[in-house]
Amino acid sequence: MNQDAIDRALRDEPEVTPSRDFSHRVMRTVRTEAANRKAMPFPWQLLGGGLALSAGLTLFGVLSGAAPPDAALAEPPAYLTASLAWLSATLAGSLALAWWSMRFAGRS
Amino acid sequence: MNAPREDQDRADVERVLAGDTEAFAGIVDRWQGPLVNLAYRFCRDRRRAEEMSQEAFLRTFRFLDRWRGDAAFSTWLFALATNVYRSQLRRHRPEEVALDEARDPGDPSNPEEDAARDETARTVRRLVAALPRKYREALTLYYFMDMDIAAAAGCLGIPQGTLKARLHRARSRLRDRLDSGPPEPAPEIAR
Repeated sequence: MNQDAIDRALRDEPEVTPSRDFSHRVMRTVRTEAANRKAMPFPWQLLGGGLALSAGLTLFGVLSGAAPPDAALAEPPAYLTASLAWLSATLAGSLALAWWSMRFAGRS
Repeated sequence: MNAPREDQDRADVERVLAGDTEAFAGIVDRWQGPLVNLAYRFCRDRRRAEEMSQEAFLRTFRFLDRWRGDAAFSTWLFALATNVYRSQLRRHRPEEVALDEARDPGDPSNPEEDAARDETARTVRRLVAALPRKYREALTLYYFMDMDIAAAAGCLGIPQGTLKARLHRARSRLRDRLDSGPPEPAPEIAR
């Protein structure tokens, strides 16, 4: 058998016609998907508010730490450093969780 | 895959992204035939082809905002569908090849010649189904895309040179097997 015969056999495959209700079935699943998506939107406003609050607190902490030269305040107090560390870690964790959940939701 | 169809696709995508879910029906109507046929060539099972196509449409809807518009919508759609079909077939291997379902229902003017051609075609498709996955996918996409190397390589996500090499090896294997005698009846689709 030559190459032409192989080409012809694979190129001229008979068409398969989708079932009559195929598009209805697809649209049903699409509507369900759209409804679920609308029912649980991502809380962008909450995320934005949280980020703004965190940024404000961080800025406040940094400015407090950089306050001038009183002998007692030259070094930022330990509780402030610890708070900033916790705040940064929490913020990073929140961002990582948000990223992961969006990725998970996109895949499922 | 012509210009008016591209325009319709673009308009429907914009409407869907603006919140009009029903506009997706236009995309389904235009592309259900090609997507089901492509799926059928992968799995050789009509019902399964529809299930796989349905999943491909659902993914299309879900990720519609990722189509950037620089490539044709059809190119993006076929690449996404190919990914869905490949991953589904990797997870759930088809039970058997049902080639007889794909018989041409037309009315042959010359029944003997038509029967011989059908038999040859069935033999070739059976042999393709028994090829290793990478060769089978290369042949499937190449012929489905009207022998357009660039389009087929794009769908598979491989360089054009790689696709050409796979096609060459796949054809050599096919010719060898065809020359060495009739194939075993109804083999399972190879992995």
